[in-house]
Amino acid sequence: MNKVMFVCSSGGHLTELLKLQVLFRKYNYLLVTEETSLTKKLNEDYKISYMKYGSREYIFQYIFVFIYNLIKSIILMITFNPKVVVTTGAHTGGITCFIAKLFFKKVIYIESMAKVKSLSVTGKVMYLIADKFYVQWEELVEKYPKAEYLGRLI
Amino acid sequence: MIFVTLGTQKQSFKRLLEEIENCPLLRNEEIIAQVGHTKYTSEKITTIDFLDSDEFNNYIRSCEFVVAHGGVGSIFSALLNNKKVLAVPRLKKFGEHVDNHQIEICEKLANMNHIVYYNPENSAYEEKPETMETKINFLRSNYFEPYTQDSSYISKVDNAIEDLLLS
Repeated sequence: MNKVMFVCSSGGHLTELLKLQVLFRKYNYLLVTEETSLTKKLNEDYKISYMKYGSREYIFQYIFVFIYNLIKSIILMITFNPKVVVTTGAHTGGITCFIAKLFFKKVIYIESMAKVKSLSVTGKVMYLIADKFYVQWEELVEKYPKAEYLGRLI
Repeated sequence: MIFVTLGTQKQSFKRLLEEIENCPLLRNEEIIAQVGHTKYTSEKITTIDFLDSDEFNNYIRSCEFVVAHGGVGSIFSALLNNKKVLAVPRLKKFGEHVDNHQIEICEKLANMNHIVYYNPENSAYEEKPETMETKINFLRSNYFEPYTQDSSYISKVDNAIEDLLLS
């Protein structure tokens, strides 16, 4: 079975990513998300590996979270060794996908449905390096021609 | 019962709870709020920090309408259960989020007539600024388009995965 990693931040990004969970049966998958009081029970239902929760608002703390998540991503690329990584973004998903590209993995980036007029910070970076880049609103394709619109995840 | 959800961000979103608390229309309503990391004590609003997804969906299904922060997860949990939604975007200027992106999705879904959204900044300088009260009245008395999920999306993503596995 081919190995596919699904990675994202917690909250709405995870709500979006879990819409793809029927694919968990088709592939040898690993779900990677941030550990919060809401996600810690998910390990009862999914094969999951946790990152640290971080927000750009707390910048000093975020530097440590960033480094931790960076190292954890490297470890996961070696131990799980996926062929394809799918993300619905935000920083945690972005870091892992950036590392994935350094390990020559294929990356699918799906921009959050929340982004209607412009790309997120993570989206702007992923636009340059992802193998497939999807947006969920047609108007974004006009602005970012390399992006594809497939409809909406939710 | 009216169900309020503030999302899972670390930043406080007290402003929305205060608006609800002070809204005369809601004086006699039962209000239950999932407040996440927002610290708030009130005699009027029953606050719960985090609900698991079953409990969360039960409250969504049994409420009259949902008042949500402008997050995708919260808004669509309500829409997919055919509930009316009043969305209130978190704003950067009050330290409620890192940027103002929640306005984008709220505006978009309101233009598509799926939700009502309330941003006091929009009408702050008008003669009769919008209030929570006018928005709830509008929500209660109008029809909104049901939101239908695009079921073909998953297979499109799967095709992309297959493509990349072969390349």
